[in-house]
Amino acid sequence: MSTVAFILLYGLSYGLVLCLIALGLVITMGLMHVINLGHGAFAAIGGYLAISLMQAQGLPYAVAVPAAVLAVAAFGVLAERLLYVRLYKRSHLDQVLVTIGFNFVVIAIITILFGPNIVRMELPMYLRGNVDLGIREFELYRVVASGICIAIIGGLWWVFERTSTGARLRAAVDNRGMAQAMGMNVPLLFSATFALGCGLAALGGILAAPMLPMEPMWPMKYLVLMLIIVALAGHGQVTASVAVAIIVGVVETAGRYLFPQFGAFFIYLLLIGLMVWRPHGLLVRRQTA
Amino acid sequence: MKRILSRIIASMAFGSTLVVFSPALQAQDAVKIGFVGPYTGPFAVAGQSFRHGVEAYMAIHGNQAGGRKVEVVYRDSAGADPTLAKRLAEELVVKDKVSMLGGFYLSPEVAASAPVANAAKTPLFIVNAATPSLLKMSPYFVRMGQPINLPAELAATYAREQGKSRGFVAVGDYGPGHIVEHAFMSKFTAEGGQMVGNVRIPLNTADFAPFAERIANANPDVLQIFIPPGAASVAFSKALAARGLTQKVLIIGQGEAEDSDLPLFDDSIVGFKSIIYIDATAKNPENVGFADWLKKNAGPDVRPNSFSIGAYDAMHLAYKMLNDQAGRPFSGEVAMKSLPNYTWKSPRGSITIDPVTREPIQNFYLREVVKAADGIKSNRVVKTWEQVKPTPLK
Amino acid sequence: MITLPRDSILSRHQWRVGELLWLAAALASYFVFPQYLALGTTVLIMVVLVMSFDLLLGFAGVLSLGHAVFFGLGAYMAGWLSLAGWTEPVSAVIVAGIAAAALAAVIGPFLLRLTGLPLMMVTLALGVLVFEAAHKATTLTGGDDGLAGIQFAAILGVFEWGLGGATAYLYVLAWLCGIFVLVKRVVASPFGVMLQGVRENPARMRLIGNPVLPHLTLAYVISGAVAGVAGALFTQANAFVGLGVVAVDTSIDVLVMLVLGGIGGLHGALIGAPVYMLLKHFSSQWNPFYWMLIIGVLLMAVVLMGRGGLLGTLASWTRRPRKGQA
Repeated sequence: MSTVAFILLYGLSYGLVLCLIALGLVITMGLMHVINLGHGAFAAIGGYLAISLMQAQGLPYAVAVPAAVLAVAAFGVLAERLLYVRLYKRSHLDQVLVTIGFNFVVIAIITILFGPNIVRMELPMYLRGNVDLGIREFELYRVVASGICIAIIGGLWWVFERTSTGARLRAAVDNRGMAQAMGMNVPLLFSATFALGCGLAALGGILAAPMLPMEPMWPMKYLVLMLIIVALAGHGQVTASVAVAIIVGVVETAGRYLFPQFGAFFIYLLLIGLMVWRPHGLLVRRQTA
Repeated sequence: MKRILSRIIASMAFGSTLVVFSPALQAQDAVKIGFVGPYTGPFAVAGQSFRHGVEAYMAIHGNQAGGRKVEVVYRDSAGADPTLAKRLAEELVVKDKVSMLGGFYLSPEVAASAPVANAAKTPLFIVNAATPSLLKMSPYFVRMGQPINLPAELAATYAREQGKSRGFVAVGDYGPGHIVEHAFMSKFTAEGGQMVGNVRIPLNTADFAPFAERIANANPDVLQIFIPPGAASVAFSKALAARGLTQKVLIIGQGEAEDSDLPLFDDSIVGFKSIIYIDATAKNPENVGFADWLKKNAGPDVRPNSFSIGAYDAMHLAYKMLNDQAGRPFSGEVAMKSLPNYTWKSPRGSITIDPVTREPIQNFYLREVVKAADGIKSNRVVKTWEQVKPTPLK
Repeated sequence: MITLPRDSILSRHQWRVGELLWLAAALASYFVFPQYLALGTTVLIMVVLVMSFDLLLGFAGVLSLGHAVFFGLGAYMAGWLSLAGWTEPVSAVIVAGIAAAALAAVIGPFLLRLTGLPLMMVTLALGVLVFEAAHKATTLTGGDDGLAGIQFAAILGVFEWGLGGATAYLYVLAWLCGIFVLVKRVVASPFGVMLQGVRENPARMRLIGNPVLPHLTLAYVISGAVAGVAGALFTQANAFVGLGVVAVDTSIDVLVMLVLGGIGGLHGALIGAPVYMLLKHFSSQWNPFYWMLIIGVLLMAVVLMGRGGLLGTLASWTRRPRKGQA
């Protein structure tokens, strides 16, 4: 019983953090139709920046985290205006190649600045230790991180599904030309959305840092997991992303616990199976041009 | 006039024949040693340590051996691809004309380079790679490190001595890990212990909590681990601590928490035990001299580790081979014949080359991580096994 | 839309001056750089591999991130043959190529129904799965330690494999010439033309009665076979095969090499592979993270400039600019 609880709780917290990072990608890819393999780079930059602010500048955790997120969002706008704007009309292949190149550049710069080894994130005292959840003990940090993720994801869902801004965004996703014809400032919308995506990535990276330690190869290491979630969720779907991310988190955890020998086998088999069966995402929404 | 001229020519001719036929007068070419290692990439710390060992030896013992100047050529394998290491070894032999090869971090790199050593008849000093079967691949190989089954067997014996009876082994899922797993399990059961579980952890694992959970559920009292040093070891130790295992279970490892890596760990690593063939704080004159050199030239926090000591000892062997063959062209075959039972004092203590296997016979040390009053963690020797003979694997 | 040099399709099978010069330079290198032949052999093998990928991506428009699977199968096949006693090198390479082709024939019909991101993801996942399987199957592949003790008999009974890669270099160069001729024929044939049609507009191809999937599968099979040949040559040149041959990194390296050289037109392999490999080799004397920086910037620049790789960019600078060109 304790084991089942472990796998579920664990998988859930892992999945939620992955979801946060992946959501940024789902939103940007869904809106801008750009395959952005550099998304992990923004997450890693967020993690490294937060660690820097805490260790080099001595800022407390609660200040460093929002500061890092905002900084990365701003950097995201810069990147969008300078680089990504050139990719909107390009082929998928070109987008893949340029964003891989972007990844390489970020990895190289991180190594030059921080060295090739991992950099540990020191959690403040109030986030350390275990908490008793009744069924079993569980790491306090994971509980808090899950809570933050749920809050943010819930907020995003509410914005997308229940506000007019969200409606406009969904309209622009479905039919960009029409949305522009209706007077929406699409370039501004794109920049703002990209900033949101990068901010989410940064927050996800920061929250993940104690679990998935920051090292220069971080963007490439976890890229595949993010791509799996995005590919299975389909473009621009918040609900599907959450579901898929949690499934991925739980399957990964269960796989590692029950069949450690086989590592990532299950998740990749799952991916191949699902992609062949439903190439456009698990929950198919009717898409117009 | 003609007579003087012809005499001058005659004496010149005579002089030149003297030069040609007396090798003692002839200037000897420099001898080159090629060191292949991961000077960049994920294992760069090891490569850097190789360099430290080489440079320290040459600084302390001079750069001449056997009447010839010694030059070391470094080539970066980045720890990535065994075929690259093989190509680098080949290039060193063919282009740079090295007389000896050394270094090599990963076992497959050594395996891939065996044809090179055999074809060129070049002695190769294996500084780090630890797979036992390597030495059978070439008669020109000699190991400066350890065969990886030894510390695992010592750990099993130690655990039994401490009264532990429920054993669990968690290793990285790669060649050396499998050997450690097999060695520990057979020794532990042979000595009357009971194995309650084993797990092989995929190398690219980031999140170790599921494995810590599995270990905890098996309820062992001794855990043997073997995880690549660096990010993986740090994350794994964290996961073990979070699950409360560091308090309840005797955990024995190998190179996961060397002094150079300890700053990466938090205090949950204190009390971690490991078995390895060097003691960074040993007080024998060779180690003291080596440690001093490192402090002055490599950095105030740099301490001896298995990589730098291995490279240091490789240079010692190289110099011995050159000294034995002073005044003659260097022959790898002759050099290898002089090794069996050769004993010398190394920073690690006394070391002898085993005549049958070409493995080192050396001390093994059980260390424990302690934290000093100033907050600095280090490995302190708790027990020493003297001059352990290598046990050949079937 | 992938930018291609718009030259006459029908004349593709004829030799161009540039290609002949390249081959001459490769042959000359044998005499001019005798100490770098091991590196040179690896470069030539990569040229063959990248060429096979060009056939797949440049001509058939299939973006596969799992191409290393065929390279690896060919490599391990050669290793298994050698360890089983089959040491005749040329036939071993052919067998390896056939094995890789067979694998492509089996998985092609399933994979090639997908396009775009799903295809990319599935080929990537397949590549990872094959790597993990190879890692686990230590009795077959030697796992991390790889397969050592591989030895091939003298080529044609005469040329012994020596230290330093001299024989290997000429041997691989000979194979490269043969493969190049073969691939040129394929590309200039009606099949090759049809492939390009499929890449540009699959719907229209179906409308005019050309089935898409069989053509793509055949392209996949040929591409796989050539990659398998490259793999076998790799094993023979190194007398060793390790997990690196099936690593995802290898698949990505192949893609990057092709992009640098220019996709389509078969020249990408001739330019991209040497540039990438030589840059990597010589810049590893410094910090390899500078290398990653260089490659990242190069990749972005080459693709953004969109003129068909380094060669294309060079060509467009030397051509007189036409007014109003985008």
